[in-house]
Amino acid sequence: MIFSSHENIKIAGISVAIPSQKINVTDYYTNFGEETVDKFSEMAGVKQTTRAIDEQTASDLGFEAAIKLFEAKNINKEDIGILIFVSQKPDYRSPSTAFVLQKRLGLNHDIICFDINLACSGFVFGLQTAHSLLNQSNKKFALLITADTSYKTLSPEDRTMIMLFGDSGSALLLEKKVTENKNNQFGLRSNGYKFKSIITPAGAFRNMDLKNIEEEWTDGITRSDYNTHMKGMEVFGFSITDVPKLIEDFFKTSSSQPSDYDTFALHQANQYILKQLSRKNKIPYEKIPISLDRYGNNSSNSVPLVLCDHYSKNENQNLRVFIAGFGAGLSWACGSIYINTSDILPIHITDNYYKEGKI
Amino acid sequence: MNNLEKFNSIFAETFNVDSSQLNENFGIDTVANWDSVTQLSLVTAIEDEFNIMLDTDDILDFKTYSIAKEILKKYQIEL
Repeated sequence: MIFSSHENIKIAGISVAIPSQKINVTDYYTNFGEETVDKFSEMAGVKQTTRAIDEQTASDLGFEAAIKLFEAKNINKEDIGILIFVSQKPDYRSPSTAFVLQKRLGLNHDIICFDINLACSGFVFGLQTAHSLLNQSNKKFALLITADTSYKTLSPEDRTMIMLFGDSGSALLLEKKVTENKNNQFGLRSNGYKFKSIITPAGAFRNMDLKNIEEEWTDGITRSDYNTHMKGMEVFGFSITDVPKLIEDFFKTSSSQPSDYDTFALHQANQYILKQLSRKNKIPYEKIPISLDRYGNNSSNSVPLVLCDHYSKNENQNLRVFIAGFGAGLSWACGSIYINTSDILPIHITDNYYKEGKI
Repeated sequence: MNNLEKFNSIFAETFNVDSSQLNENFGIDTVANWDSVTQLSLVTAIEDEFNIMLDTDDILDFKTYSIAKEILKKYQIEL
């Protein structure tokens, strides 16, 4: 496990934006049959998700979340020295979407901008990276934006994924500030030997010859090589073996235990996995807030979404939050962060998109 | 309903088949809609019905009707 501990860096604000369009799992009755849908919903715990309109990219949602954050925090934007965008759905193949966001957000040239291509583990990896870079820089703030519109590469026929994923974006502001021994800490692991476990094979440069043709795969589901494919049982196995092991190792290394945390903002993979993590890591299930019932699995945004969903109405409560994300790569990460609930903003609903971005 | 009937009924409902179709060959390689979602739905229903929690290896091994029967024996469920 890569372990890092960061002193004197504070989470100064967090914000989430979602699209207005709501998709109920019952909308899939005609596609997959009532019984299949109901069983999926019961196991996964998903009743509804949100979905971006076609024109709206992941970065549009992240942008809107960042605007809300700036309005609430009223900071000098010249003090932001790092902008990281975490997503699997960039605006363009190049340049990094972080540059598009830099322009749209009106940030100056004295800044590091880049993208991180990660999904469900992305918030924790991005947060660890932002902490590390900010600590080594001469700037006061770092901005982490995570966003995904997973639906856009899913086959509509893929009953294992299409009802599960929701779209959203988040923005988080890190600030250099004396934190009085309240270090944010992270534990991270990666396993590229399983890179095919969750993969979108075409659309980049390894498989340029593949045509965008939908055909039946060996699992009986119709999809094309431009669709994202997940080896369900392999990823499930990873989620209930490697992830609890990391959490256990993190508790040991950080000398902490479940009772030290106020809440467990875990990646909302599916309800069954959350129950397994609760059981294996002895985390009381009632201390795991749930947002997947109304928003689904939101890839890298699950952790910020669950925080904004549950804590934005609480005022001035200091929380020690255990966070965890796991998915494509394979990659998995967890951490211990401190945040005051007055810095957690309510969920913003928007269908705005960047019209000038269309070429 | 005895345990075997409850067990069969969960399989039949999960895979949308008649109980008479359940036999030793009924499994992930022979059933068209047996995927990660149906397997987890199956495990969830079995755990709820018999009030047990399967170990990780057993959840992942739960890939045929006959293996499932063997697994339940380990949890003192008589079928």
